[in-house]
Amino acid sequence: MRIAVIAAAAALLAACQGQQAAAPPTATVRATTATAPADLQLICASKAAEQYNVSSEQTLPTGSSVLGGGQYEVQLTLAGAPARCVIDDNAEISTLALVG
Amino acid sequence: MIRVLAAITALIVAAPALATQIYNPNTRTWVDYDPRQAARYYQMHGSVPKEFRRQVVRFRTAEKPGTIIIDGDKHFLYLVQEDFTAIRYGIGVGRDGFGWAGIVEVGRKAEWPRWTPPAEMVARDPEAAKWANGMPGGPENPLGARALYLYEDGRDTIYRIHGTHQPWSIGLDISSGCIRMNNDDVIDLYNRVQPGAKVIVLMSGAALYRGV
Repeated sequence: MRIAVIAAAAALLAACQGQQAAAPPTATVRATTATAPADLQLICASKAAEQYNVSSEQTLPTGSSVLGGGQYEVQLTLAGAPARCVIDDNAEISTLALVG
Repeated sequence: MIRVLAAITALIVAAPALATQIYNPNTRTWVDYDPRQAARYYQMHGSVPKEFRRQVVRFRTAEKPGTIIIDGDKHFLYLVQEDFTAIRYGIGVGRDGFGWAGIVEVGRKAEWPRWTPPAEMVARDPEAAKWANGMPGGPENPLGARALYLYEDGRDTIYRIHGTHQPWSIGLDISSGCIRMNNDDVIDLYNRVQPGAKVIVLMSGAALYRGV
Protein backbone atom coordinates (compact mmCIF):
# COMPACT_ATOMS: atom_id res chain seq x y z
CA MET A 1 0.00 0.00 0.00
CA ARG A 2 2.74 2.39 0.99
CA ILE A 3 4.65 1.58 -2.21
CA ALA A 4 1.57 2.25 -4.30
CA VAL A 5 1.07 5.65 -2.67
CA ILE A 6 4.71 6.58 -3.19
CA ALA A 7 4.53 5.47 -6.84
CA ALA A 8 1.39 7.52 -7.41
CA ALA A 9 2.98 10.59 -5.81
CA ALA A 10 6.09 10.14 -7.94
CA ALA A 11 3.98 9.83 -11.08
CA LEU A 12 2.05 12.98 -10.16
CA LEU A 13 5.28 14.88 -9.51
CA ALA A 14 6.69 13.71 -12.84
CA ALA A 15 3.55 14.81 -14.61
CA CYS A 16 3.76 18.26 -12.99
CA GLN A 17 7.40 18.60 -13.98
CA GLY A 18 6.51 17.50 -17.50
CA GLN A 19 3.92 20.25 -17.70
CA GLN A 20 6.46 22.81 -16.53
CA ALA A 21 8.89 21.70 -19.21
CA ALA A 22 6.21 22.10 -21.86
CA ALA A 23 5.13 25.57 -20.77
CA PRO A 24 3.12 27.28 -23.52
CA PRO A 25 4.94 29.88 -25.62
CA THR A 26 4.28 33.56 -24.97
CA ALA A 27 3.42 34.11 -28.64
CA THR A 28 0.11 32.81 -29.94
CA VAL A 29 1.07 33.03 -33.61
CA ARG A 30 4.29 32.59 -35.55
CA ALA A 31 5.49 32.57 -39.13
CA THR A 32 6.30 29.12 -40.49
CA THR A 33 9.63 30.44 -41.70
CA ALA A 34 11.66 32.45 -39.19
CA THR A 35 12.96 35.71 -40.64
CA ALA A 36 14.91 38.70 -39.35
CA PRO A 37 12.97 41.55 -37.73
CA ALA A 38 12.00 44.15 -40.33
CA ASP A 39 13.92 46.95 -38.62
CA LEU A 40 17.16 44.93 -38.69
CA GLN A 41 16.65 44.08 -42.37
CA LEU A 42 16.30 47.77 -43.17
CA ILE A 43 19.37 48.69 -41.11
CA CYS A 44 21.34 46.28 -43.31
CA ALA A 45 19.84 47.87 -46.45
CA SER A 46 20.63 51.38 -45.27
CA LYS A 47 24.24 50.50 -44.46
CA ALA A 48 24.69 48.70 -47.79
CA ALA A 49 23.35 51.69 -49.76
CA GLU A 50 25.82 53.92 -47.95
CA GLN A 51 28.80 51.58 -48.25
CA TYR A 52 28.32 50.82 -51.96
CA ASN A 53 27.03 54.26 -52.92
CA VAL A 54 23.72 52.98 -54.28
CA SER A 55 20.45 54.90 -54.03
CA SER A 56 18.34 53.80 -51.08
CA GLU A 57 15.42 53.65 -53.53
CA GLN A 58 17.21 50.81 -55.30
CA THR A 59 18.26 48.91 -52.19
CA LEU A 60 15.91 46.37 -50.68
CA PRO A 61 16.07 43.27 -48.47
CA THR A 62 14.88 40.27 -50.49
CA GLY A 63 15.04 37.57 -47.85
CA SER A 64 16.41 36.71 -44.42
CA SER A 65 16.99 33.84 -42.05
CA VAL A 66 17.87 33.17 -38.42
CA LEU A 67 21.46 32.03 -37.85
CA GLY A 68 21.11 31.44 -34.12
CA GLY A 69 22.87 33.14 -31.22
CA GLY A 70 20.90 36.32 -31.86
CA GLN A 71 22.23 36.67 -35.40
CA TYR A 72 20.41 36.99 -38.70
CA GLU A 73 21.43 36.79 -42.33
CA VAL A 74 19.79 39.28 -44.69
CA GLN A 75 19.92 39.02 -48.48
CA LEU A 76 19.84 42.35 -50.31
CA THR A 77 19.56 43.65 -53.82
CA LEU A 78 21.62 46.76 -54.59
CA ALA A 79 20.37 48.08 -57.94
CA GLY A 80 20.15 44.46 -59.07
CA ALA A 81 23.41 43.27 -57.50
CA PRO A 82 22.99 40.70 -54.70
CA ALA A 83 24.60 41.30 -51.32
CA ARG A 84 24.69 39.57 -47.95
CA CYS A 85 24.54 41.08 -44.47
CA VAL A 86 24.87 39.48 -41.04
CA ILE A 87 23.37 41.49 -38.18
CA ASP A 88 22.60 40.75 -34.55
CA ASP A 89 19.84 41.65 -32.12
CA ASN A 90 21.79 44.74 -31.06
CA ALA A 91 21.79 45.99 -34.66
CA GLU A 92 25.53 45.38 -34.98
CA ILE A 93 26.55 44.38 -38.50
CA SER A 94 29.37 41.83 -38.59
CA THR A 95 29.36 41.07 -42.33
CA LEU A 96 28.33 43.12 -45.35
CA ALA A 97 29.52 42.05 -48.79
CA LEU A 98 28.48 41.78 -52.41
CA VAL A 99 27.81 38.21 -53.50
CA GLY A 100 29.41 36.71 -56.57
CA MET B 1 -23.91 32.38 -44.12
CA ILE B 2 -23.78 29.90 -46.98
CA ARG B 3 -22.03 32.52 -49.08
CA VAL B 4 -19.47 33.06 -46.30
CA LEU B 5 -18.79 29.31 -46.03
CA ALA B 6 -18.54 29.04 -49.80
CA ALA B 7 -16.06 31.90 -49.86
CA ILE B 8 -13.96 30.31 -47.09
CA THR B 9 -14.05 26.96 -48.90
CA ALA B 10 -12.92 28.63 -52.13
CA LEU B 11 -10.07 30.28 -50.26
CA ILE B 12 -9.01 26.96 -48.74
CA VAL B 13 -8.88 25.43 -52.20
CA ALA B 14 -6.81 28.37 -53.44
CA ALA B 15 -4.64 28.54 -50.34
CA PRO B 16 -0.86 28.41 -50.82
CA ALA B 17 1.77 26.94 -48.53
CA LEU B 18 0.66 28.53 -45.28
CA ALA B 19 2.80 31.19 -43.72
CA THR B 20 1.24 31.57 -40.27
CA GLN B 21 0.72 29.08 -37.46
CA ILE B 22 -1.27 29.45 -34.25
CA TYR B 23 -0.59 27.74 -30.93
CA ASN B 24 -3.31 25.38 -29.73
CA PRO B 25 -3.05 25.31 -25.91
CA ASN B 26 -5.24 22.20 -25.71
CA THR B 27 -3.01 20.02 -27.88
CA ARG B 28 0.15 22.07 -27.14
CA THR B 29 1.01 22.12 -30.79
CA TRP B 30 1.40 24.72 -33.52
CA VAL B 31 -1.22 24.36 -36.22
CA ASP B 32 -1.57 26.00 -39.60
CA TYR B 33 -3.55 29.22 -39.46
CA ASP B 34 -5.67 28.70 -42.54
CA PRO B 35 -8.92 30.50 -43.48
CA ARG B 36 -10.99 27.95 -41.58
CA GLN B 37 -8.87 28.32 -38.41
CA ALA B 38 -8.88 32.09 -38.77
CA ALA B 39 -12.65 32.30 -39.19
CA ARG B 40 -13.18 29.99 -36.19
CA TYR B 41 -10.76 32.00 -34.03
CA TYR B 42 -12.50 35.25 -34.92
CA GLN B 43 -15.92 33.76 -34.19
CA MET B 44 -14.77 32.50 -30.75
CA HIS B 45 -12.80 35.57 -29.65
CA GLY B 46 -14.39 38.43 -31.55
CA SER B 47 -10.97 39.58 -32.70
CA VAL B 48 -7.78 38.41 -34.36
CA PRO B 49 -4.89 36.90 -32.29
CA LYS B 50 -3.18 39.44 -30.03
CA GLU B 51 -0.08 39.74 -32.23
CA PHE B 52 -2.22 41.08 -35.07
CA ARG B 53 -3.91 43.77 -32.95
CA ARG B 54 -2.74 47.38 -33.17
CA GLN B 55 0.12 48.18 -30.77
CA VAL B 56 3.17 50.40 -30.34
CA VAL B 57 6.49 48.54 -30.64
CA ARG B 58 10.21 49.32 -30.66
CA PHE B 59 11.44 49.90 -34.21
CA ARG B 60 15.04 50.93 -34.83
CA THR B 61 15.20 52.74 -38.16
CA ALA B 62 16.54 55.78 -39.94
CA GLU B 63 13.35 56.02 -42.00
CA LYS B 64 11.32 59.17 -41.40
CA PRO B 65 8.27 59.14 -39.12
CA GLY B 66 5.25 58.59 -41.36
CA THR B 67 7.00 55.92 -43.42
CA ILE B 68 5.10 52.66 -43.83
CA ILE B 69 7.03 49.40 -43.67
CA ILE B 70 5.29 46.15 -44.51
CA ASP B 71 6.67 42.81 -43.33
CA GLY B 72 4.73 40.42 -45.52
CA ASP B 73 6.37 37.35 -43.98
CA LYS B 74 5.14 38.13 -40.48
CA HIS B 75 1.92 39.88 -41.58
CA PHE B 76 2.74 43.20 -39.91
CA LEU B 77 2.51 46.78 -41.14
CA TYR B 78 4.63 49.32 -39.25
CA LEU B 79 4.00 53.06 -39.27
CA VAL B 80 7.26 54.69 -38.17
CA GLN B 81 6.95 57.11 -35.23
CA GLU B 82 9.44 59.28 -33.34
CA ASP B 83 11.92 57.85 -30.82
CA PHE B 84 12.56 54.50 -32.51
CA THR B 85 9.00 53.28 -32.16
CA ALA B 86 6.30 52.29 -34.63
CA ILE B 87 2.61 51.51 -34.59
CA ARG B 88 2.24 47.89 -35.64
CA TYR B 89 -0.91 46.59 -37.32
CA GLY B 90 -1.85 43.08 -38.45
CA ILE B 91 -2.38 42.60 -42.18
CA GLY B 92 -3.35 40.08 -44.82
CA VAL B 93 -1.08 39.85 -47.87
CA GLY B 94 -0.92 38.31 -51.34
CA ARG B 95 -1.35 34.56 -51.64
CA ASP B 96 1.18 32.36 -53.41
CA GLY B 97 2.20 33.98 -56.69
CA PHE B 98 0.61 37.30 -55.76
CA GLY B 99 3.16 38.52 -53.20
CA TRP B 100 5.58 41.30 -54.12
CA ALA B 101 8.28 43.47 -52.63
CA GLY B 102 9.40 46.98 -53.48
CA ILE B 103 9.52 50.65 -52.61
CA VAL B 104 6.46 52.71 -53.53
CA GLU B 105 4.51 55.63 -52.08
CA VAL B 106 1.00 56.59 -51.09
CA GLY B 107 -0.34 58.31 -54.22
CA ARG B 108 -3.81 59.13 -52.94
CA LYS B 109 -6.33 58.14 -50.29
CA ALA B 110 -10.08 57.47 -50.37
CA GLU B 111 -12.87 56.94 -47.86
CA TRP B 112 -15.31 54.08 -48.56
CA PRO B 113 -13.64 53.53 -51.93
CA ARG B 114 -15.34 52.17 -55.00
CA TRP B 115 -13.93 48.79 -56.04
CA THR B 116 -13.38 47.93 -59.68
CA PRO B 117 -11.76 44.51 -60.11
CA PRO B 118 -8.90 44.40 -62.62
CA ALA B 119 -9.58 42.63 -65.92
CA GLU B 120 -7.56 39.54 -64.98
CA MET B 121 -9.57 39.14 -61.77
CA VAL B 122 -12.82 39.50 -63.71
CA ALA B 123 -11.59 36.77 -66.04
CA ARG B 124 -10.75 34.27 -63.29
CA ASP B 125 -13.30 35.05 -60.57
CA PRO B 126 -17.05 34.92 -61.28
CA GLU B 127 -17.74 36.81 -58.03
CA ALA B 128 -15.56 39.69 -59.23
CA ALA B 129 -17.05 39.54 -62.73
CA LYS B 130 -20.40 40.70 -61.32
CA TRP B 131 -18.74 44.00 -60.45
CA ALA B 132 -16.75 44.50 -63.65
CA ASN B 133 -18.13 48.03 -63.90
CA GLY B 134 -17.39 48.84 -60.28
CA MET B 135 -18.92 48.20 -56.86
CA PRO B 136 -19.94 51.24 -54.79
CA GLY B 137 -18.24 51.77 -51.44
CA GLY B 138 -19.91 50.24 -48.38
CA PRO B 139 -19.66 47.53 -45.74
CA GLU B 140 -19.82 44.71 -48.31
CA ASN B 141 -17.15 46.26 -50.53
CA PRO B 142 -13.87 44.25 -50.44
CA LEU B 143 -11.84 47.46 -50.06
CA GLY B 144 -13.53 48.21 -46.75
CA ALA B 145 -13.65 51.60 -45.10
CA ARG B 146 -10.53 53.26 -46.49
CA ALA B 147 -7.92 52.76 -49.21
CA LEU B 148 -4.41 54.09 -49.68
CA TYR B 149 -3.47 53.82 -53.36
CA LEU B 150 0.16 52.84 -53.92
CA TYR B 151 2.04 54.63 -56.70
CA GLU B 152 5.49 54.41 -58.20
CA ASP B 153 6.95 57.36 -60.11
CA GLY B 154 3.52 58.98 -60.18
CA ARG B 155 1.80 55.92 -61.65
CA ASP B 156 -0.78 53.70 -59.98
CA THR B 157 0.71 50.28 -59.21
CA ILE B 158 -2.80 48.71 -58.93
CA TYR B 159 -1.86 47.72 -55.35
CA ARG B 160 -3.59 49.28 -52.35
CA ILE B 161 -3.56 49.20 -48.58
CA HIS B 162 -7.24 48.86 -47.75
CA GLY B 163 -9.84 47.68 -45.26
CA THR B 164 -11.84 44.50 -45.57
CA HIS B 165 -15.29 43.01 -45.07
CA GLN B 166 -13.55 39.80 -43.91
CA PRO B 167 -11.93 40.87 -40.60
CA TRP B 168 -11.00 37.28 -39.75
CA SER B 169 -8.60 37.19 -42.72
CA ILE B 170 -5.82 39.22 -41.06
CA GLY B 171 -2.66 37.09 -40.74
CA LEU B 172 -3.31 35.12 -43.92
CA ASP B 173 -1.78 35.01 -47.41
CA ILE B 174 -5.08 35.63 -49.06
CA SER B 175 -5.19 38.66 -51.35
CA SER B 176 -4.32 39.32 -54.98
CA GLY B 177 -1.38 41.46 -53.91
CA CYS B 178 -3.11 44.20 -51.93
CA ILE B 179 -2.43 44.75 -48.24
CA ARG B 180 -5.61 44.33 -46.23
CA MET B 181 -6.31 45.57 -42.70
CA ASN B 182 -9.26 45.55 -40.35
CA ASN B 183 -11.49 48.58 -40.93
CA ASP B 184 -10.69 50.14 -37.53
CA ASP B 185 -6.98 49.84 -38.26
CA VAL B 186 -7.13 51.17 -41.81
CA ILE B 187 -9.13 54.18 -40.58
CA ASP B 188 -6.45 54.79 -37.93
CA LEU B 189 -3.68 54.49 -40.53
CA TYR B 190 -5.56 56.68 -43.02
CA ASN B 191 -5.82 59.46 -40.45
CA ARG B 192 -2.07 59.34 -39.72
CA VAL B 193 -0.62 59.02 -43.24
CA GLN B 194 -0.23 61.72 -45.86
CA PRO B 195 -0.02 61.29 -49.66
CA GLY B 196 3.64 61.01 -50.60
CA ALA B 197 4.48 58.77 -47.65
CA LYS B 198 7.16 56.20 -48.50
CA VAL B 199 6.05 52.55 -48.39
CA ILE B 200 8.63 49.74 -48.18
CA VAL B 201 7.29 46.26 -48.81
CA LEU B 202 9.40 43.31 -47.61
CA MET B 203 8.52 39.74 -48.55
CA SER B 204 11.04 36.91 -48.77
CA GLY B 205 11.55 35.55 -52.25
CA ALA B 206 8.72 37.59 -53.75
CA ALA B 207 8.89 39.24 -57.16
CA LEU B 208 10.34 42.73 -56.98
CA TYR B 209 8.13 45.53 -58.12
CA ARG B 210 9.68 47.62 -60.90
CA GLY B 211 12.48 49.99 -60.04
CA VAL B 212 14.28 48.13 -57.27
